[in-house]
Amino acid sequence: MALDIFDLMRTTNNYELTFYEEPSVQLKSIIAINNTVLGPVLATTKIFDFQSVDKATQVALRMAYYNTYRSALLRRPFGGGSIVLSGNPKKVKNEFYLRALGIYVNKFAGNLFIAPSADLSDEDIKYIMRETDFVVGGDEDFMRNGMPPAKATALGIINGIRAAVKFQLGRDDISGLTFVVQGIDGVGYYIVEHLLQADDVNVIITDRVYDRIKAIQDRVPEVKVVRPGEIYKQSCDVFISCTFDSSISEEEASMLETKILTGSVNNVIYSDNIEKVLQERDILYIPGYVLNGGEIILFDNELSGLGPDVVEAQLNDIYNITLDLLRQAREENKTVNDVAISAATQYIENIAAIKKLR
Amino acid sequence: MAKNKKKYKILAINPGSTSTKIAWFEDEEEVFEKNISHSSRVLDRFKTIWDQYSFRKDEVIRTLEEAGFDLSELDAVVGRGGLIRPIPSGVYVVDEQMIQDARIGYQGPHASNLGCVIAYSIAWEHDIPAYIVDPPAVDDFEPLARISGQAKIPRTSLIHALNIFATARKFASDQKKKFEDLNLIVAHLGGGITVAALRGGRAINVNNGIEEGPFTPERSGNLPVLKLIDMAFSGKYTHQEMRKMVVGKGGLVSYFGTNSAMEVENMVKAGSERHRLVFEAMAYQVAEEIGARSTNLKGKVDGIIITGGLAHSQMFTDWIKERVEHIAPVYIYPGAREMEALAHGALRVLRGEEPAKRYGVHTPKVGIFYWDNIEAYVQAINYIEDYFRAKGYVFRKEDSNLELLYANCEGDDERGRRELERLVDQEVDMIIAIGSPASALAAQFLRTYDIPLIFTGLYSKEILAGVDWKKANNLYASLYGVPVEEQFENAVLRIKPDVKKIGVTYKIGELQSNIEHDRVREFCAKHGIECFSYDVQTHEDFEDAVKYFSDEKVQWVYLGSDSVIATATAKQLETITSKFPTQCALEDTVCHGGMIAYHISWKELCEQSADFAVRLLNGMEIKKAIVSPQKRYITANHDTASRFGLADKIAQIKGVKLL
Repeated sequence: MALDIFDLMRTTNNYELTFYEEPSVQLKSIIAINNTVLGPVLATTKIFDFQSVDKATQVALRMAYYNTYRSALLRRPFGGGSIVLSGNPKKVKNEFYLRALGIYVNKFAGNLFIAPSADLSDEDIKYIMRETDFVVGGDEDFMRNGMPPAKATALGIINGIRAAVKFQLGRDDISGLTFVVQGIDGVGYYIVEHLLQADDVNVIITDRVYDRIKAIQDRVPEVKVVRPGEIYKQSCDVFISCTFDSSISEEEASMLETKILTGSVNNVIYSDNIEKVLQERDILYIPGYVLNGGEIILFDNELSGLGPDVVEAQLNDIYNITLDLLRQAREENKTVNDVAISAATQYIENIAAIKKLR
Repeated sequence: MAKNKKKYKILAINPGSTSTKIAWFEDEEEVFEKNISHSSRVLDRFKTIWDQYSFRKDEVIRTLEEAGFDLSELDAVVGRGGLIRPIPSGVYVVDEQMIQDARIGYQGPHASNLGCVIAYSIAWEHDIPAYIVDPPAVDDFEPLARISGQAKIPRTSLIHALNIFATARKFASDQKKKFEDLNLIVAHLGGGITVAALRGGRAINVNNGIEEGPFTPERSGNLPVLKLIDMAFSGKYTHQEMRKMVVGKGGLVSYFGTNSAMEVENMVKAGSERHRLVFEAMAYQVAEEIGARSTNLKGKVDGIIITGGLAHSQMFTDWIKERVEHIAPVYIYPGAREMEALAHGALRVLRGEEPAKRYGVHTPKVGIFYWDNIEAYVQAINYIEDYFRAKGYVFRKEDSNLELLYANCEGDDERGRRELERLVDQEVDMIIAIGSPASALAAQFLRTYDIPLIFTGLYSKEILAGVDWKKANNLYASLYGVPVEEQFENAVLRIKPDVKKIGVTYKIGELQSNIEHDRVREFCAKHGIECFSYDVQTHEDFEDAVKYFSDEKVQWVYLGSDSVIATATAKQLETITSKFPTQCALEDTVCHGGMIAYHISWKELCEQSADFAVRLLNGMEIKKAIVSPQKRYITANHDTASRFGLADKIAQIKGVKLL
């Protein structure tokens, strides 16, 4: 059955969806704009070889939807949006492809900013900047003195996990705990790096790409490695999923032996029904968009000229926001997702109301 | 027309110092081979050999993609193993421990250390197994061979294992003999020379390829020790220079400045006496080494095999031959068959012809857990053991590669728990539980342990109440229960389609018996047959059962698979089987006087369980965790059938086996 795009736009609150193709450079893109009440869209970019436009459109709309909420939870002046590009990021990107993308971004006249992501490196961003100024994460001075966006996201997630550990396990530190990290590219890599620096922490990793495993194992041979298919059977305290391409299914959720589940992608689980399975198994589930806003804090500081030195301190906000949401969820007997959406929505509505006064 | 059998697709990777050789095999056939050369300019960029990993892997993948191969079609990847810790010869599953040892270069840095990690990496990304075959670190030394004569310097094995074993296997196959049955001396002649004595498929002694034995094109081999010590302490040479003098700049290089045996041979042919002297001396020393190996085999040598690149030189092999052919016939197998050896090793494992070994010192342990000493369970153990043997496993012997631990519940739950505890303490890698009662107990007791459990002869998966089969990743089962409807339709209803009253024995408190009983009652109700049940707790209850069935005028009796029927002797069963025609759940019951059974083969079922175990031991994929043999058999007891005048009718049933 064909995808009812308008229906999906309605259910994900997206108001603008554009498709753009430039065959001369093999650029095919879908841009979703969800909400601009808080400010211009800070679009997350994903490049993958999408076989179906329907699937890619769904991905774009969902990413945009969650991006709105993660900005709102952090009270940062960005709207939610996304850019989905077709192709294998290792093969399709070149100067012309990226500059064409920059030209396309320019057409949004400042309503949309593009930023580095797992699929867009600093080098790629430089090409895009030749065509558009609407880029964050491109300020070389800021980035040189600061941290990579993926690291900011990872540290934010770690702060959120610390809050979850406090809430769920009643502990102020993570020593003695076992962490599973599924997917160790980009954000996952920095999460593992951070965990391995802590004392007395067990880390179990997997990734579909073995080279990433080897890169970590060559440095830290004692890290436990399992094949991707084995990861859900690992007994742990915190399961962190950092893979874009394998959200957790109901069957996988029923296999999990963890106390806390979260991750770097906006929604770690395949469908909302799985939250019930997790609840029944007393697994605390925190959607990724609640924790993964570290890069937004980074970019906000870049645009507002505050400098990179304050970023690390501001990432602590994620600890407090997460802890508040967890407590609220318990008090109101709701899921974390429900209270997070409601808190974010409330914030957006308040800002919208204030803007009317202008 | 015969159905096309699936061909196994195997990628073999053999990293050398300045090249990486790859080959794509489809079963035994090599469909592609390429030697990817790496310039020293590129390799020099890397600080260590291990750092060359990504570069070489990318080259391998690029080459294969350019040649049009799809890596996702592979069944396995096999790499040349490196200088890892000493291990017996064979095929090994690449695992994390092996990677760790290859990373540090357990026995030194060597390009072959990259073989296992590149294979592992490609296999990882396609979710298939990775193996190594006979790495240079193979050490099958018999204890006597380890004594050097200086207590501080034990002898260690370093051997061209891949080519030596592959050539020996090829020779055995050419001679139509079993490789393991032959006593062989194999001399690999290449840049390095190793001469191995093979007994029972193991290299019980070999000259260490780096520092012992004959000199080679570039290695010095054995040297007068005191003169060497004097030289080392003369102050004229550094440590590195001394080492290089022995390995790299020894042998032909030290005499003529070349490591090309062909060049030297050409000089001999051109009349150079000096070249002839040295070149023949090299053959002389190889012959000497072969003579030494013959003493390791106490003179019982089935053949001397000369292989490797230098075996192409007839001049050289003739010199060896004339000195050793009095020991045993000499066979020349020129060249090296390393790629073939790698692929064929992996193929043997994929086909289940040989078990892949686990790296490290671990001999896998399999617990066999059974309810009692009844005939069917003892038979099951025999079938399982036979299957292991057929797959190359050796147990209860000095050279065992598998340990089997037996645990008998002796019909008692409490004892069964103690036995399971014992198996857990002994760190078994998996447990095969035989029969429904043992399976149920093991499933309950081991639910918090991460030990794979294989249920053999489980009546149905419902026996294991509480087991979440979706979540259970370590549970495997072979089921014996043929649906009751199928049993009746293929036996009773064929013989007496109008049967109106059936008696059934069962044992209250035994779960599988209760499930079976319910199914018989459901069947009868559905077909308008009256069903009369009698609980038999012991064999003494048979008489009362018969009385009850007689009073109710039942026409047939169904003898189930409960422990009372399963353990009854023919004499005990006769109480029932002499009075009523009987449909039996178990083949064994027919052997003990029951009339007819429609059943699966107990042997096939046990083999399926053993196959689960072999696959787990080899890290191979198990597609279905619950299986049941598809083939059905009808077995009938002729004497019993005659007693009821049914022998002729039963004999007409197609495919019936009459006892």
